[in-house]
Amino acid sequence: MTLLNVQNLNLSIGNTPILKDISFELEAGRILGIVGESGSGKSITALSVLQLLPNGTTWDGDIKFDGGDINTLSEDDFCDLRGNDISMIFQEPMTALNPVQTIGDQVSESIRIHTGKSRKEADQLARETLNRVELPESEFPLSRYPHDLSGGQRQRVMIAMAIALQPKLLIADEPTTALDVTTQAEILELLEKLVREDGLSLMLITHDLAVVAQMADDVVVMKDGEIVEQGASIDVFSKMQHPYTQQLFSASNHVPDRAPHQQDDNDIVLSVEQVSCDYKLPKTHLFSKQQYFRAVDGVSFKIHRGENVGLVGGSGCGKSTLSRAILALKSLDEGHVLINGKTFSSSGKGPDLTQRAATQIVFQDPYSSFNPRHKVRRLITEPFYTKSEELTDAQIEVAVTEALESVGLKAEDGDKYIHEFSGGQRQRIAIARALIVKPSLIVLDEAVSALDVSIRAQVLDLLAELSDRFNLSYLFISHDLSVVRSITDRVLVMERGKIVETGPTQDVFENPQHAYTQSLIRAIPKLDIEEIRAKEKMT
Amino acid sequence: MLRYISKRLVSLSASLIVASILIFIVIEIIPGDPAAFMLGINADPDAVEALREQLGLNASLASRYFTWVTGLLQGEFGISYTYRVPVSELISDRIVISLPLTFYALVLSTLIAFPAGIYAASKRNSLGDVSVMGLTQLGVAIPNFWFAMLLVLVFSINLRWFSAGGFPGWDQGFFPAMKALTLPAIALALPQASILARVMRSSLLDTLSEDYIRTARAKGLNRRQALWRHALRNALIPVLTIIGLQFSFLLAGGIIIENVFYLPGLGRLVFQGITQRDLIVVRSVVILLVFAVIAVTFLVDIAYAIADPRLREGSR
Amino acid sequence: MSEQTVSHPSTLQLILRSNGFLIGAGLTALFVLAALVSFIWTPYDATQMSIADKLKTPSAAHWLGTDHFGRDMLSMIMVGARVSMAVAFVAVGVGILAGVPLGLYAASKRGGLIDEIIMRGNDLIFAFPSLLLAIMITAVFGPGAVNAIIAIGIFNIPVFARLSRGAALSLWQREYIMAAQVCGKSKALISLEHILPNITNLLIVQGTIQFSLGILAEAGLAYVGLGAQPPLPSWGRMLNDAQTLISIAPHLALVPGLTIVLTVLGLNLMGDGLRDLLDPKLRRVKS
Repeated sequence: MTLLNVQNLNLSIGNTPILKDISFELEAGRILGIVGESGSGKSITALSVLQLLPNGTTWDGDIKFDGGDINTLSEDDFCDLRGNDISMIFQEPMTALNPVQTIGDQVSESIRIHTGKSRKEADQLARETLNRVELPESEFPLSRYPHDLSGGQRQRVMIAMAIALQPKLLIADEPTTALDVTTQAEILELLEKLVREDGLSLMLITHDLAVVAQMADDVVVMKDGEIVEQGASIDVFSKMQHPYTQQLFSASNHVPDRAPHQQDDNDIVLSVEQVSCDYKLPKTHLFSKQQYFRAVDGVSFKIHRGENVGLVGGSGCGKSTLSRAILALKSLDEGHVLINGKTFSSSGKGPDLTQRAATQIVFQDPYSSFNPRHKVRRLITEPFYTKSEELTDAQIEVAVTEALESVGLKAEDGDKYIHEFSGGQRQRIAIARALIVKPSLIVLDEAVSALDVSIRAQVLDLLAELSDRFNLSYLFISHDLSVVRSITDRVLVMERGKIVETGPTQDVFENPQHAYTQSLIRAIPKLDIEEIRAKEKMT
Repeated sequence: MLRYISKRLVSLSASLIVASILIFIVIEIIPGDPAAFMLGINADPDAVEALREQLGLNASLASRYFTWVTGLLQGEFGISYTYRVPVSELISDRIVISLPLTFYALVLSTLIAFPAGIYAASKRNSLGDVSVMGLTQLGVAIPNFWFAMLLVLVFSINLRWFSAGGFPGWDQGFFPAMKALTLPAIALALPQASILARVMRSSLLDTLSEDYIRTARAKGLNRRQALWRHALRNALIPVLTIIGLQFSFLLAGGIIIENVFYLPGLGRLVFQGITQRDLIVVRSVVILLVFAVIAVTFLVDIAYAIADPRLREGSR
Repeated sequence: MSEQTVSHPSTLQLILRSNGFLIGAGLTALFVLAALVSFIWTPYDATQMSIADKLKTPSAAHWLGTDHFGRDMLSMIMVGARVSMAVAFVAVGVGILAGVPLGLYAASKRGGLIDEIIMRGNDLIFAFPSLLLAIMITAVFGPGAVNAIIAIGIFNIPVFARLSRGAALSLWQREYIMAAQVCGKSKALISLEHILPNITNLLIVQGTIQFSLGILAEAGLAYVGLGAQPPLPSWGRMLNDAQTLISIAPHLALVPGLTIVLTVLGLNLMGDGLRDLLDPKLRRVKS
């Protein structure tokens, strides 16, 4: 039976067309994955089913839910439908819950407004639902507030709110994008279990092809507001008829070409020796002793010239603090950091400014990485401040041209402002800024995590090429293990401030030793075309 | 919660101590010898000296400060130089006008601002919203003492609904006294209500665009329910800050408004104290008003903690 | 992250679209002009008394009428504009010059002792009812325009300190600030080069608001006799003079009162308009 039937949906916000001629069906009890890059219109498609659209939206077409035409429903009818027959889970669990209401109130509210149950009955049902999403009463009483729950726990509360009344259709908009890879696996597993148990239909919206391949029965591939391909996921993934699907697929699994790394054991770029970093904890009362939280705990490792080293771990494991400590953005509480064999910073002593230029960084967010008021030329020459000798204008001009051209931009781009560039181009400019002082090491702090897969593949290629060309070393920090796998020679696994496992990337991924590494690697969603094809042959 | 309260208490008493030192020093800098003022221009220097001794003006700065503060703690403010009566008496006669006036105005301001702000936010960009915002734009621009004069012109001189000034005293009954305070309270409250309504509106609009409002709508709440059940309490947090600040504004504004309406409140006492160099009165009134502001700040902090569970557990 | 670039409407287009800003800027320009013109020309001498002409209602000879001493109201308003604007303007300057460096410094030492001291100092000033402190200051140094500036300016310091600290704290989290640190720039240099230019919009908007509040405060002080002293005319004192005569000559109260309202309204409208024009969040066309 068709639960949801969308036919010829066209939608625009203001005068900008967003969706063009969208048609798809969702059968009861099945999981439909809608996959696409940003700007593909996948989230708006979901919101149009719930009619929670931004102001100024106009649409036409037919949306039928459970046999009824939603065009004929009034706003009041919709309020009855939402949360009762159709529920939704959003991307950002940190902000999706009301911070001043207990989790119990928020779950039981969805029950009370639709059923007229008494507060006590609703609380009872809320409790049972929270138990179902694996938030047991002992640790998660109804009276808890959202602010001290982790992202994964908050997402579970969201799921509880959505499934409390056993809706017919559950819409999940990037439900795990903001979460760690292990938490993502848990949440996806939970969703799948609940959907199968209750016989719900699930509309899963994601940018991650692997997640869809793993979970969905049917798949819709969207690009620029249009559906480019749809069908049963086994068919779509095994045949991949549309070039865009192929492109998405190859970008998701992209491994850049790199010359094999020739290691010189004596040529060490970065040496981290017994580094520890503490954060002050808030005092429990006025006269109590200051307590500290050890974010990085006695970490030691080395990076050789030209070597790409990955640093992986869940959020809060200390990888960001470690990167800041290496760059002397945060002072060390113990240990030393040596660059090219000379001490750069050590506990109690500030950084040696003459060595500043040897390490540079590229950040995650291409939108907040640049002062919006300066032109690109000024932005990328900022690292020259670390150099003691004055450069002539001509020398600077040569350096700017060289840096911009080596990241695939033009010298004229130096005269533009940063808002004239797209996210991928900005990330290239960030790399140019790091390159301009010819550093030995670049720290890439989630440098490709905010990019769409196809752009990400291009930036990874660029990084690989630059590393080969300039014999550059990278410390590649990421929560995305498949990216780390594709570009690094060696990987460090970090858990609770300590490095728990280290080794050549291939070995660690194929044969993880530490239990934490094993759980991380098990959690990676797999996008293995051979496996999918094998599955298809069996059926 | 207790921990949070005690933390706030400690920091507030610290600001009270620093404030008292500041006030004491400023008053000490004010030129003019109170003893000479009390005895007149042609007074005998020996008599002035004797009076200085008697008033304790010849003791060291530190010891005078401590005498003053220990007196304050016991409710002893000293004897007024000009009136020759205990300052506490002078103050208690007048505080029964100033404080009720301030609270009257605060209540009025809140009662006007909340509905106006909530209405404007819920009908964003409608004609109603635009008119309410236009009125508040005007309200913010009106000086309260000028508004007071207009009120007198219309309601006392032309319509004769209220008397143009003066205060009958609380012993004449609650309603006559409140009636005498009504025009002054309106004059004080309207400009502040305009500010508060604007803050209420923008704070509500901010919270209405939060993710958890979308969550509430996805649960099946309609716009109204989402506003009342989820947005309002979150929107109150910045509004509370403004209400706390307004207490201070209203208290100070009262000093001028009392002049317009010839109300014998603390404001007039301070002005007389300054012109007659009755510094002991000035000092006491100022510290009292500062204390009132600090106490209200404390109440606002507690209100914060009630509104926002994140503060209660001292996690910040 | 989206790959589309954002299109910007030009500043001129935005200005023309914003009626509030135009009205506000027009009113503000009118009063600034009146103040400037008063230096070289006023219809009459603003201090010239003429008992024969006293309490005249507005007419062709005296556009805004005369007061109880027969002085020309328009001339008094024009000269009064000078004092009002000068006091408010310098007080805003005091607030910015002292408050912004304090706020930026506190933000760069976030959580440190100095940050704590600066912020507690700010709280302390807020604990004094503003007018009360102004009254105490003028009581110490005697009434006059300069002391009104000090009294109002002191209150502007914590306003700007808080504003710039808050804005700077969120900017310190930006990655371009960390990038500048990686380039070895000191916190002071970063504050100057990266933070200050990015908070100027905020400061301009807050500056217009404080400017209008300063005009209200100056009027209040002058009204109770603590502002500019006679014979210099001032809007606040004109209102004080008008109070006893309000039933027989309401124009004495209406003229200066409306002048204050229009000036403050103009500044506020301009401030709101500026906020909309300068806020990059609103400028970006969302897609």
